[in-house]
Amino acid sequence: MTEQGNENFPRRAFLARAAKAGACVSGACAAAYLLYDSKGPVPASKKQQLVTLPDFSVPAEPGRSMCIATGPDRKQTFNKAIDSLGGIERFVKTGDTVLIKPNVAFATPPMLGATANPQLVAQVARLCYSRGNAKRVIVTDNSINDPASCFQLSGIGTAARQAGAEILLPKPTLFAHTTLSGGELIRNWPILYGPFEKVDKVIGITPVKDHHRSGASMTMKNWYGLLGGRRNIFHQNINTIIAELAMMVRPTFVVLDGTQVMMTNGPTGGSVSDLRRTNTIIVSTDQVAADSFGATLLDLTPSDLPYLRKAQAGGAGTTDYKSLKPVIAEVAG
Amino acid sequence: MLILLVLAGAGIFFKQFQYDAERLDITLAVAQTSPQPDADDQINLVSLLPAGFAAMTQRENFGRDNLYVKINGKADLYLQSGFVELLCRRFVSDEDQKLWAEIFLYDMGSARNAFAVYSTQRRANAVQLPLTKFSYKAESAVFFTTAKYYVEIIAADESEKLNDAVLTVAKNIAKLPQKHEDSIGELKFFPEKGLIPGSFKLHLTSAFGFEGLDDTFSAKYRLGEETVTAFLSKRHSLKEANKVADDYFQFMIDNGAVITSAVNDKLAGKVLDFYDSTEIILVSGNFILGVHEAYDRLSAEKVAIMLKQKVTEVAAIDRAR
Repeated sequence: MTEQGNENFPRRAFLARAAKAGACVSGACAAAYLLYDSKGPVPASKKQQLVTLPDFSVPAEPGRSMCIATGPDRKQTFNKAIDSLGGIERFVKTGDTVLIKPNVAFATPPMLGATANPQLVAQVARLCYSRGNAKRVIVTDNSINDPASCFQLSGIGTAARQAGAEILLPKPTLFAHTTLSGGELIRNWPILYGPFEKVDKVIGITPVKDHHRSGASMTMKNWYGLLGGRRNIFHQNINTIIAELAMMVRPTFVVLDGTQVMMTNGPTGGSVSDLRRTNTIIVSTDQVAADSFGATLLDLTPSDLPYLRKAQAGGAGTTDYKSLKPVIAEVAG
Repeated sequence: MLILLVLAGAGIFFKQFQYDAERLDITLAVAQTSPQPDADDQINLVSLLPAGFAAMTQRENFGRDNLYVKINGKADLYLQSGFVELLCRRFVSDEDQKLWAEIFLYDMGSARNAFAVYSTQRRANAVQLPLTKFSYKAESAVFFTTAKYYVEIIAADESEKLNDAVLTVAKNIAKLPQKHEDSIGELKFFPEKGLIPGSFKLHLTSAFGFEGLDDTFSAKYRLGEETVTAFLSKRHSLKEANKVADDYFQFMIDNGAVITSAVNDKLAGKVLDFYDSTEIILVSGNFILGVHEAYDRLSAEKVAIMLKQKVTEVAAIDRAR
């Protein structure tokens, strides 16, 4: 009896094909074994290395830590204040890369005072170049709702570019996780770290504002814009997070703009009616001291803002701004 | 067969790069604005723009989970007041890109909630508008409530052209037919004599710093040179009104208030001296009412008596119905 097909498929050919098929299966199994990742992809939060922001402060000089300057014109008042502390040259050296962190939290027009004043940001950038001989000035903020619109509509994008600064918009690759030593809330939390890499100096610029949750938004609260993730959860512990931010960021100096103060309905405001003209700019190497004085522009005292006390306890500065013997300067209107 | 195997392998190779980040708990560094599903009665804001103006940006919607993305630290004020959804849109002049404004349409769930956020943010130099029952203009912006909505239209420039456009949009929004009620019952219990227009305020929580005094209306009265704040809160029963009044009284005592007697014999209530200001607490039916932090005793007592009288009268009319 002859089986059908045997004539067309000799035994030798069958064995050769079977061997090839076996080799294919064995190869696939071997490859699968070698490529198999038994752990699977690791969540980013576990994979990333923790980072720590460097200390950007400059050596202290007695009597030249803080200046409270008054005057109606922001540029002139800032110039006066920074000159009173030794000039921008004291803080920015030839070839430095400077990072400016203004408050660009909202896509609102400059006249509402909800964001840093664009002309002030530009003036600081300009001075960094012209007298500090900075190599590069970068401006950044993590404005969570459409950062490009926030920079554009607040006027900060255009003003900063015209002054020669670069705008760095937040993107996921610029974030890294950090843990504040001794911190209660900033633990393995993403921050806008990328812009801080390879910079030599950091300057914070922000207006004085009423704040529905914290009572006031000033230089320490400005660092809130560095937080990534669902940072709104920190609103439940607003005093602690502001204090921890002040402990996390050691800036070269901060500029607190009280030329117009948002007295009501902060932090967004919504009308020029929310603003009061107080014609004051504070430049300080001590952000706690700057905010302690800033509180008075809001008709508050430092004790009305619990985060100031917490930040002082954490070593971020002093609420007793008078102990720094601030320079008082005035620019005629 | 081999071709199929190669295709399957390639598919697996490329698919591995498209894993679900959420399932793996990967935190995205930058929060995204997630559009919310449209409400049944979503308003088409573009159709309300005047001639010569057009939409500048796409519509943005924010819900309870991401309101902070838009208004950051002010989100709590809305969330605590029953916020449902925010619809925003910017519009701009066809001729001048600097002339733009933004509409914020907050769906607060009820006229009462809308009034609460409207009244607590009312600007001191507000100029009342005839748009709706609660509407005003402040520098560079218009604010009002219409049914369950609290509306802000904020201009980027103080030009007359933009100002006119803002008012037109406000009028168009106010004219929209609404399904929801627009009345707030408690306001009729406040006497009209001496009432400062636009001074009504609804404290949904912790009126005057006291947690137990929620859902409380206040209004300001002018008597000669003096300004007096009257308040009123409707409770479920006389028993509850008495309980809240007692608790508030104790709260004041705990914070340094001293019991004093009324100058006016007609005043049947608790009168307290609180660091040279007068606090009066009364109960009338289901209402707790009184005067808060007045700096002239006689004016304070006069307003308290007027308020109690009005509450008694209106409550009697309501009962008769």
